[in-house]
Amino acid sequence: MTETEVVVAASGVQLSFGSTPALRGASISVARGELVALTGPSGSGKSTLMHCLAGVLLPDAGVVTFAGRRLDEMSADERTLLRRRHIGLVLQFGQLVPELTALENVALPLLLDGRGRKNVEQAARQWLEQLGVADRAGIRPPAMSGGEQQRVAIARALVTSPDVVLADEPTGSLDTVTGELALEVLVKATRETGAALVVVTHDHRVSAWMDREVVLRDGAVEAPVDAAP
Amino acid sequence: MRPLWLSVVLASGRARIALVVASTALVSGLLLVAVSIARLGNGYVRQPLLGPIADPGTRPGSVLAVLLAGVPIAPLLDQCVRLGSAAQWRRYQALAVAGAGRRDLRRWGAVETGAPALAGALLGVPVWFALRLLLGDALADRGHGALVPTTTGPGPWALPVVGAITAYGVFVGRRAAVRAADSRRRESRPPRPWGPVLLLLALLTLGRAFGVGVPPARDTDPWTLAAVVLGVLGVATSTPWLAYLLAGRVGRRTDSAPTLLAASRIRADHGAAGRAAAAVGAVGLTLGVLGVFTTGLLDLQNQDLAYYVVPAVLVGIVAVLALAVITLSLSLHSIEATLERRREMSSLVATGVAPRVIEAANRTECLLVTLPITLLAGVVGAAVYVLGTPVGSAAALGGLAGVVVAGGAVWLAVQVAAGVTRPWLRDALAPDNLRTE
Amino acid sequence: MVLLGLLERGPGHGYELKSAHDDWFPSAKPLAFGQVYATLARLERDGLVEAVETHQESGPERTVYALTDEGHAALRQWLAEPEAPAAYAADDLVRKTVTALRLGLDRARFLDRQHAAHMALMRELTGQRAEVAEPGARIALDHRLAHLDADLRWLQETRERMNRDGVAS
Repeated sequence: MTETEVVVAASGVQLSFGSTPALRGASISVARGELVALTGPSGSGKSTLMHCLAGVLLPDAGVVTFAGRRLDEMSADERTLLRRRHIGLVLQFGQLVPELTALENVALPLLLDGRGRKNVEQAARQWLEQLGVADRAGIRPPAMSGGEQQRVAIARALVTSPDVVLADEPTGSLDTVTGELALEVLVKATRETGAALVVVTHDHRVSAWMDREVVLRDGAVEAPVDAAP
Repeated sequence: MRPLWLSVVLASGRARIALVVASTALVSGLLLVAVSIARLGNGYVRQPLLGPIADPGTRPGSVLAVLLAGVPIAPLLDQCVRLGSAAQWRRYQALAVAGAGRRDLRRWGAVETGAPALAGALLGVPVWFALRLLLGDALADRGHGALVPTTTGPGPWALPVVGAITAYGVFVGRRAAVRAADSRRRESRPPRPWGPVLLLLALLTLGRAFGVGVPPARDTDPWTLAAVVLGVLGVATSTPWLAYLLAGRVGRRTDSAPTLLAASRIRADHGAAGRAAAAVGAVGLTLGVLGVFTTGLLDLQNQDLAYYVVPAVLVGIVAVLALAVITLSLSLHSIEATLERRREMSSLVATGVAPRVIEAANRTECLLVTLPITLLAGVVGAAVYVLGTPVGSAAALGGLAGVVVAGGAVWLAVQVAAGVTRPWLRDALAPDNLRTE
Repeated sequence: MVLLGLLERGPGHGYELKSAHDDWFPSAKPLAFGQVYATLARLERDGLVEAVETHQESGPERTVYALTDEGHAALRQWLAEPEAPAAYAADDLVRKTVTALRLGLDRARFLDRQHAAHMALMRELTGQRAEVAEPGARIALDHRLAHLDADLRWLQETRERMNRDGVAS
């Protein structure tokens, strides 16, 4: 894997919440267009690692880079801009603004970039259509089902055509069938934009959709094991 | 073990109880002052009172002025009573799930808010007494006109005042408790345009008083007073509707993300926004009128200048303070709402919305509710007064000055509130709130 | 194969082996004596076990068997290969896992290898499922995926139980 192919990478990341260590030297590298599952038992630090990759949390030690640039060398504003334009984030729940309609929620990142309302609305509508929730455009999140909310969240993550989509247990709060549908749509839409996808999950059926699996245990990445002896 | 009702009531926190007691005490004290002025009877009195209070003709107006001073305290009281309402809501819902019946919940809610309200209402008596000492005896001893009657008090009327305030606390408490237990969260209806109807009635009443189209009334005072009351009520009911409408219009047209967030919050939380708009409208109206009134007097070169100007300026100061307090309480409410939605807000930050944007949205939310309404109400008040009374054109400028002062006070209050509450807001936006494990 | 595992612990005769087997797999069908002796005979013929003693006490003749070197090698070989996940009951999976754990042979590595094998198949089936549109075929695939998922979760729990009980890998 050459340097230019790597979209986001973490190297030897350590992070503690107070006196509790969450990450003890975790390393991961994600290439363009790759689908990676980040798995491990609860408390292994996989969500924390994802937040470090997104620049939401800054590690105590170790380096996180995005397209070769170190995140700790960027200002908070630059990191916010990075997240808005190049990273799409999908969380388990509670990520849509309850007072805005689905359309407004999806359009929000684009509005912040200073694009005019008219073309922003069109782009947002297209993404809602792609995810099969175009008819919910004028509805507010509290009036939507969990599956619909996740699709709107995925649309919001993809509306800026990011380089990588980071999803933290995206199907965690959904039932099996709805979750499968949401995941299918996430994988398909991400593949179509050519973005990489990192999914944090404890569900094997979810990680089976990805190209490879990275296992975290006690804050560090385990060496991959082959099936052959 | 403590009795259950005591545990439930104390769970609401000392700060909240203290706020409720403080604000009810203030309202109670002011009401007692107003009542003691009203009890002076219909004739001249032998107390060294300030002109407008001493003069039975203008006395009703001064009663109204005192009540007006209580106007900003009322939404603050309302806000205090509702502060922590999300936590209260969860607490009562948990109690309902644990098996508490509606009667139990009503009882606890009544005690939780009613008890501090009662304490505050009773404390209103020493507040009234303090006001009497400071603004009555102290002024009278120095030879100025007193603001508060020194020989009469509220008398037996104190009881209904205390009762009314306590009843309000009990009512709000019960309602909140029962609402929490009701699992169906119905979306409240948006405000209706009854306000303009009342305003029209006010204008008609004024016209009846001064003989527009009909022969003028013999005694204009009760008609004028009725018109004023209708006008204030009209403003109080029009402004929530106007705020709701404005937020909708702005939200649909704006290109700016903070404005979009602000406008949607106002539409979603139109109850709180409406209350603030009503209070702000009433006070804005007053300042508009005062501006015209004061400059009109100066223009007239009247001998008894001090007689009218001093109380006018006093009311003006109170009104400006009132505006500040109302705006502050609205800011607090919107901060509280943001804190309630920590997870959504920190998710927004995680997806690339700068905390700056969310702070701006909160400020815009407060300004969008208070500023246009204040300015509009001020202009309306000034205009009505200019058109209705024989004052010079310079007075109109005075009205404009009043409006500008009102707008400035509101703007300043929003900035101060934003600055003071910034640490709490930053805390709510921290990525710690994203953790699910 | 399990018999080889049982003999790994030390030589024994038919009756001992049968009791040990039933101890190891309390939820399985108890092993029949006839089956034990037949299997032992076959293993002896294949050179994986040998008779070391022959007792003659009151009662039937008791031959004690032990593993040969080839027997040791065959057992190691069997345990080194992860079990191909079966379509239905995964008794073989359970048998191999329990054997490996009881013998204490590189437990963590065994579980990891088994996990990787299951995940590889799951990935393959998930890919297939994305291309299959016909509901009947999808349901069949779902069934296999669900069982694979269950096995994987069981493997994970076993791993965690191992860690918690303080058993080192």
